[in-house]
Parts: sequence; structure tokens; C-alpha cells
Amino acid sequence: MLKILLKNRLLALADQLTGQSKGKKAAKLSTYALLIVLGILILIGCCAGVNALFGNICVRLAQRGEVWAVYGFAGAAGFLLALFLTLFYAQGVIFEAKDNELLLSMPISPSAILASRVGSVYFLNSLFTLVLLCAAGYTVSAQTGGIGVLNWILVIVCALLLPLLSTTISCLLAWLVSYITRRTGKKVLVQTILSLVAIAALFLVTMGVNKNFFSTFAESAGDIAQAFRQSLYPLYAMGLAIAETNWGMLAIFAAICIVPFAIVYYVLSRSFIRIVTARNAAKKQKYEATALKGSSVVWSMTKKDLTRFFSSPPYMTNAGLGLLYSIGLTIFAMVSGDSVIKNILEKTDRISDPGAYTTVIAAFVISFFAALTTISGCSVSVEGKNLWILKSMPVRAKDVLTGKLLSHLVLAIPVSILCSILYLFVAKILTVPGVILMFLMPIAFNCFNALFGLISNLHFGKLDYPSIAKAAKSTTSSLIPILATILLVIGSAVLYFTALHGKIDVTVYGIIVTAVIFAVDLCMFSYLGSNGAQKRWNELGQ
Amino acid sequence: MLQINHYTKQYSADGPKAVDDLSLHIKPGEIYGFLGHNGAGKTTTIKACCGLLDFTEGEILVNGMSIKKQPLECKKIMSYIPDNPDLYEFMSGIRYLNFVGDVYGVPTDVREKRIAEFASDMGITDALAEKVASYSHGMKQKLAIVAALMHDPKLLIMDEPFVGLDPKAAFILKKFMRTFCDNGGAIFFSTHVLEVAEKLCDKIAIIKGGKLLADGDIETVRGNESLEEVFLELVDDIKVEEEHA
Repeated sequence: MLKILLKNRLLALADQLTGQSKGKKAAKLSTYALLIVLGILILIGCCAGVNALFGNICVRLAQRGEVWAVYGFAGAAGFLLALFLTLFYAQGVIFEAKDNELLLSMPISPSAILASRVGSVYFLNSLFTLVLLCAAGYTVSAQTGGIGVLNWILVIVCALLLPLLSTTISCLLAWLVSYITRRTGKKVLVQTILSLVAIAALFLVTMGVNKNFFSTFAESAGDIAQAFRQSLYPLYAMGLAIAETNWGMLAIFAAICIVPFAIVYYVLSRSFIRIVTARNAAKKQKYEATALKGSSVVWSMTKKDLTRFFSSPPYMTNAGLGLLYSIGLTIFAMVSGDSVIKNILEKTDRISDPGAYTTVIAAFVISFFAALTTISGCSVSVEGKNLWILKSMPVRAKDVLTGKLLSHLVLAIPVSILCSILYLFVAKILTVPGVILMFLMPIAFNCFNALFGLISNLHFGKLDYPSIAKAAKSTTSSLIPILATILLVIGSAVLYFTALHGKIDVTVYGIIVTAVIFAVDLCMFSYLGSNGAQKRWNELGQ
Repeated sequence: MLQINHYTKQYSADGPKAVDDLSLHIKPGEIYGFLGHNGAGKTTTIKACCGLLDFTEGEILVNGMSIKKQPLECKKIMSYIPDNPDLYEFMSGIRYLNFVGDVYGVPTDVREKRIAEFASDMGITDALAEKVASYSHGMKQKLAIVAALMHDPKLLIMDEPFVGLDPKAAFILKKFMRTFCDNGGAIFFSTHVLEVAEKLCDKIAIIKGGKLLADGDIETVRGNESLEEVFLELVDDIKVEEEHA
């Protein structure tokens, strides 16, 4: 039975990876083959990347006899990556799976159901760990003149053991999230906070692992190795086991991975039924009639779309991340002074009019951030199974689409204005046209991004996603507006510095770009009210 | 109120006809039942009547207006309740009703009154503050019914409206349907429950494989037999007496 359940889970996982949604034909054999080829390419890419980044460090460590630290570091990276990427998957697949009750009603033991679900989490975790440990093995091999077969076998063994540890922590955190959610009834809040914490942590780690980090690592590799030994003992044991074929360390590492996993699995399997069938403990809210406020159709549509956005953590974190990035990076620019912009100016070697350049570059930078917000890019797709509501109502496509556009802009434009205000403090030398440009250009690009995303989603968006989260995570929906806006922003900036500099004033150029983008926006907006948009809307769901 | 003239629906150009040359006429004051097996073409017809699905041939008129040419005008005077109401789960019940009120332009004082009345009848008043996601299937069905009545429609089109309703809500809905039609409204609904159709409908139509088998006054269609017997004879070619024998 466990074999069947596990097979089902892994097939579902493969279907997710290949983009096959539920109810659709399962992925073909050729798709799976393509997935395997892609996996091999990723593995090769990782090996080359890790070798390029860690080659020097590996040599230094090898000279000190501390090659194990390379495996330790790769293990730490694999562990963190696996944990970050599978936490919410673990929560969904173990504790909030819709078929839990159905399976429990069948003659299947709870431990088999749990094993199949934990198995799929473990499978995902082991993929990340395997890739990174193999890359570490390749690097050591390339830099030290090859490693033995036994070392390679130990790399594989450790790549199978380490994911037990990350799976254990994923399961515990997933259980904690489910527990808090059930106790408080604040699912959206809990998941949003956790998503933001996870994103912030990943952001800080990636910001920390910059160029300086690697040079520091290479210089003081011994200290870091010591830190590993003291604070990250399991990874130290794993590194030693692989690098020195130390069987004692392998036994210790295996015990560290297997024992907590076994305990957590045992506890979860004993309480699985209770956990997955527990009712929401939050108090039911009783309705008390109050005066209702009416709104226009468009504003009502906007409020509806905003409510949907704020009620779905995956929608917020996938489509609205640009808003946070905008504010975060603007604050970063403020804190680091005008060094970022100065740096750009120095590289272009054109500081004859720093005030004008600073404002225009700042306007382009804020416009660039606008590209990362994709709320409207999936706003048609997220209607999905609710589409019948709008289609059965006496409402024009124009009103529906304008509502979707506004739901993007009422969030993006205030953030853009806030960023412009913050940048005013960075750009110390200001001119009136420059200041106006700093506000208007990002607004123009925000409108472009929202309109382009909306229209492309209207025409190319799918409606058969099983949930809002799946629609929001769709790469097509988010990539199209992101790429289009980024290309436009970067293209406009590059065009000036490569071809038009000296021939036209930078502020005038900025004004022309803004005017052109506004004109394009106007064309796209008028399309929303056209017969073409209405016809396409009518075709949806047919 | 609702005229279906030679309605034909083909999902693909070379595919079979899901509904073939169907003609029905639902007058004000009538409760019209639409019977047939799963896959007979009931939902396809109902969706076309509501403007949710385009069709290949024929014409559908709502109060004399074409659903193809004047969809907004048609939709203003009708309401649709699907068999599986996928409502906005991220909204509370009251916000959903208020949203519907906004779209149909129902004055706030009128919508407050109607919500109070219909939600109380359906027994969902207390739950209106809760998110729709927390509702059971039956409660969603009840909310969809309340929402459908918000703008005082002249025509109600319902796909299996009794599925998931508890006995009290089903009784209230049946009573409401009768009152609604007695006041000049018209109802076109599909059902599998033959007893409901027999007791509630003024007229019925029986469809099989997209083709109309029988339609008209319930007494005319069933003659001296029960509706169940007639339905089984027409749709499944089963003679009930023979079966019993």
C-alpha cells in the first residue's frame, strides 16, 4: 500500500514540476525524460558553478588538510535550500492535503499515509542535497587531483542521510504552522508572516554570501572550519566522513540524522489522525447586521480583487514581492547614501551634470522595481472556477478589467511614490523637471506593467488552475509582464547611454521616455474598453 | 420569459451535438423542470440560457431580448444558480452579498432588507460574517440562492438547486419558488429528483443525448402514469410493469 501511495505522491510531484494540473492528462514519458535531462543539466551547471566559486577555497582548505569543510559548506547550503523550499510544501502535503480524510476512510494505516507524504518531502529535500554534495565532490576532485570511489559512495550515502534532518525540521515547522493556524484561525496572517520571514532570511543569506564573503572565507578558512566544528557538528561529522572516509564520524552523522527523524515520524504517525481531523479552534464570528455601503461596479470589482490578493499568502508573496523589494531596496539606497548611483555615474564617466543624471537614474531604478510587481499578471487566471460569477452578471469586460487594473495600481503607485520621496533624500542635487520625472516615470512604468500583465493574462492566461496559489505561481503570468517591463526600462536607459548621450539632454530624454510610455499606457487602457477585449472576455471559459 | 428556439450546441466542429435542435418556451408564472440523465445536455442548455456558453445554432430570448445580442440587458433580469456554487471563498458571506448588490445596482436599504429576509429564511444569517471558505456545501448553496434573489429577478435559472440543501431549506426554497412564480416570475431548473419535479413543476421537459424527448404540462407528459414511470420509459426504455413482473 505504501508503494502505491508513494508512487501517487511522486507522480503528483512530477506533474507539478512538468506543469500538468489536476484533471488534465498526466505528463507523457517524454516530459519525464525531459525533466531528467534538465536535472542532469542543473547538476552539471552546479558542479561547474561550485567549482568556479569554491575552487580557490578548496585548494587552501586542502593545503590545511581541511577538505571536509567544503562538504560541510555544501551540506549547509543544501540543507538550508531544502528547508526553505519544502517547508510550505510539507505543510500542504502532510497536514492540509484534501485527500487526508478520504484516505483515512480506506483500509490504509495512518503511518502508511504519513510515510508516503513524508517520503515525497524527503525526495524533494534529497534532490537539493544530492546536487550540492555532488558539486562539492566534483570541486574537491577537480582541485585536488581526484577522489576515490569510496569518497563518492560516501557522498551519495550522506546525500541520502542529510535530507532526513531537513525533512525532520520541515515536518516540525509544518506541524507548528498548522497548529498555530488551527488554534488562531489566522491562516493568512501566519502563512504571510512565515513567508516573509523565510524570504527575508533567504535575502539576508544571499546578501551575506557576496563577493566579500568568498574572499573572507578563502582568507580565514581555518576559522570558519573551526566554527563549523563547534556550532554545526553534524555537518563537520559529515564532512569528515566523506573527506577522510571516517566510519566513526559516518556512524555519528547517521545517528544524528536518523534518530530525530525516527522520533518525529513516530510521534506524528501516532497523532496523525488527531492532527489532520482537528477542527479549527478559533471562535466563530456571529454576524450582526450593520449598515451596508454601496460602491460603483468598478470599485466593487477592485475591492473584490484586493480582498483576494490579501487573503492568499502565495498570491501576495509571488505577485506582490516587488512592492516589498521596492521599499527595501530604496531604504538600502538611502542607508548606503548615494554611493550606488554615484557608482553608476562613475562607471559611465559622465558626471558633468550630476543632479540631472542622479534624478533620471533614480527614476529608472524605481521604474525597474515596478517590473517586479505582477498582481494584474495573473488576475484573470485567479478567477478560475469563480469565473461563472462574473460571466453570469450584467457587467462589461471593461469594468471587470478596470477593477483588476486598479487593484494592481492602488498598491503599486503609492509604493512607487513613497520610493520617489525616499530617493529625493538620496539625490541631493535636485531640479524641478528632475523631481517631476522621478515621480512620473515610475508611475508610467507601473501602469505599463499592470496593463501589459493584464492584457497578456486575458489573452494567454489559463483558467484551469486548481487554486489561487497555483495561478499566482504560474511562471507565464509573472514572467511576461516582468520581462516586458524590465526590457523596456533597461532598453530605454541603455539606449541613452550608448547612443543618445551628448546628443540630447538626460532630463529631456527622461521626459520623452515617460511621455512615450504614458502614450502606450493610454493605448492599452483604451483596449480594455474595446470590442476586442470584450470578445476575448466572452471567449473565456467556453 | 425564456424562449429557446432550435438551440444546438456542438463543442467542436466535427464533434457530436451536445444539444440538438432544442426548443422550449417558459412563460411568466411557470416553474419549468428540465429532466434528464447525467450528460444529457441539461447544464449545457442552462449555461447557454445564462450567457455563459456560446452556442452553434438557434436563438435564446430572455423577455424578448437575445442573450447573444443583448447579454447585459438579459442578465439584469435573471439569476443563475449553478449546481456546484464555487463562490468567492476569500470573502465573508455578507461581503459577497454586498458585492452582488453593487454589481446589480441594488440600493443599500433594499439590499439590507432583502439580505435580512432571505438569509433568515435560509438560516444562514449568523454565518454571514464568516468567510465563504468555511461554509459547507449546503451553506454555499444557500448563499448562492440569497445572492440570486438580491436584485429581484424576473427569471431564475437553477441547475440542481436542491442538491446539498437540508430539508428545511429545501422546503423553504420550494415554497419560495411557488410564490416567486405566482407573483409573475419564471423558473427554469434542472433536477434529478423526480418527486420534486412532479410536485413542484407546472411544465417539464425530458432530454436524452441532447434531444428533447417530451415536454409540456406535467399532466400531459405523464398521463395516467407516475413521472418516474414515464421518465424511465422515455429515457431508459424500461417498462416499469415489466420490471416489477
